[in-house]
Amino acid sequence: MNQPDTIGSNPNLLETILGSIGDGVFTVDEDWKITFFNQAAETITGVPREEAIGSRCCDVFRASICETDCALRQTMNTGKPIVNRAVYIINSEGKRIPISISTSLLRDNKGRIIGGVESFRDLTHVERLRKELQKSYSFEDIVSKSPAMQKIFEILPTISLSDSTVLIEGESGTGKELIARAIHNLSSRKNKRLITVNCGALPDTLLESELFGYKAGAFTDARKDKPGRFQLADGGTLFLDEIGDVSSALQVRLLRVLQERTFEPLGDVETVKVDVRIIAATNQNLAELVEKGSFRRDLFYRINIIHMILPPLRDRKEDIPLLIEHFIGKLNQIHGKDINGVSPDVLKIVMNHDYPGNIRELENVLEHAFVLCSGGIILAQHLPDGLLASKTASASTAETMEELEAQFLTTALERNNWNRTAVAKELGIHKTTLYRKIHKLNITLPDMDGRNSRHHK
Amino acid sequence: MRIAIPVWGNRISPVLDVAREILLVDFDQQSEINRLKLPIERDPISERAISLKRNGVDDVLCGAVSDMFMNLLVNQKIKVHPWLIGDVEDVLKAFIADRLSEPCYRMPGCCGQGRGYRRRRGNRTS
Repeated sequence: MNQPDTIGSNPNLLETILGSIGDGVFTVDEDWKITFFNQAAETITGVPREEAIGSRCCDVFRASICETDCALRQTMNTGKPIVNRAVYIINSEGKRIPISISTSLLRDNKGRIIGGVESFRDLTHVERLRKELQKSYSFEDIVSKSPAMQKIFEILPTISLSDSTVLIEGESGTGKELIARAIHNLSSRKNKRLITVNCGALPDTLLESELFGYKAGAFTDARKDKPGRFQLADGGTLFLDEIGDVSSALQVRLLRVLQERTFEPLGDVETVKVDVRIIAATNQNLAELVEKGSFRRDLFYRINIIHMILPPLRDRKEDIPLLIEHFIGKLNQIHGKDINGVSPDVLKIVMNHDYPGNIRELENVLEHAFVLCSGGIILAQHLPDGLLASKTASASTAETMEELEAQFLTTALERNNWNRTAVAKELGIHKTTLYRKIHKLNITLPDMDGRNSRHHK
Repeated sequence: MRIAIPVWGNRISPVLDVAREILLVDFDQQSEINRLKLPIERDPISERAISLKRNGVDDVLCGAVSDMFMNLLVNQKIKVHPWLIGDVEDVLKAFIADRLSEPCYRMPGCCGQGRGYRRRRGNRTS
């Protein structure tokens, strides 16, 4: 009876198998010359097998790490395999191809080392999918997958179509101006100007002349007419940031403009009529200011027609990896750098931080790291000292990625009153995946099921 | 004329985008008159291109180069001769003798018919 072929008895069988897989595989001898090159390796690198065999691996593979950090050399030196390291190669058309590589030693049948083997996977499609996914989490220049922000993304186009005044509340750095810009860009006013005034940054008298303009001679230094921001924004949108800081006197003037869309520049007797959409924003709770008497109730109702609350970053930490990717892409363009991402350590540190300065603080952290990191991956030493100090303080709470994930899931469960369906929906994962993670991470669930206050019997 | 070659030991670096050292060689007609080796910081490629221009480089002889970096160099009016392999001294001699198209200097997969070769010829003014 014929014995079936085994890999050991038939070398061609091994070659056939390696030829049929989607991952590129090549082997090298001890002189770094390529001895085997499968079909997928040909496709990914663009180098025909007959030209690859016998050539130096760095001349064929052309990876970003060949010269300084060769994975195969590390494996040959240490005997330890390397698994799924992300690098890029340059294919024969000059395209940078993102790949993940794994290496191990190659031994003969007596166990002697005769070279190394490297397998690599083309991540181009994964990268493309990742970018597509990120696109679905983006709205104009705002990136988020948190349910609260997704709801805002849903209603923004409708809000943009109306001319109603919008009040945006949110802590400093949560992206109020980005939302205002998105509303303007999506509106029929997009071809006119969006004028931004930070009401908290100017003293009262200056703010008044900035908003309403003045006539020559209205005051000592007014040598010629100056149009105010209301006039500059005519036909467009006026974004009044930090509206909660406006004085009582100016609140009265603002109220009149909002009611009648008319005003008189300082020193002028003529009334000016403008067609301006108002978007107001504040980092304070305006309703509370009204109760305290420091903000006019009638003005509050006049601007509080469409009300949006932007959640602080600490309440939507699931956005941090997305935001990191977004800012790295943006900063790479600004600084002309080629930074690929952050190390797992850095991710752990930034996920553990509370961000009193919100997204702006995260952006500043990354900009700091961009100055210190010349390329590759952002490491912990590139982060600002303050963040590293807070990492030390919080290190005891999460030492590993698993602990961090467990902490994150527990917080999400608590936030949703332990309702697993709500958590799965919030995190955008399937309920089964959530159960699997809860089980894997040994998260202890309370008796209640979260759908109501009933307890399991 | 000033030639720049990214070097790794005594050979051309396999990837210009991440090379760590560059050899600058000045030629007068066909004779070498000066040479200088400089480290390259891990700058972004845009700064690398500007730095090469600032250093008066006319031509770059290199191994693999990404199309992004190639475009940056071309924008700086630097001629690029990509997809080269071999010992630096041999490549320099071959460049002077106009023998770079010989297969022994071409990277596998780019033997004279590849994108780099066509671009190289297109970029040459002589």
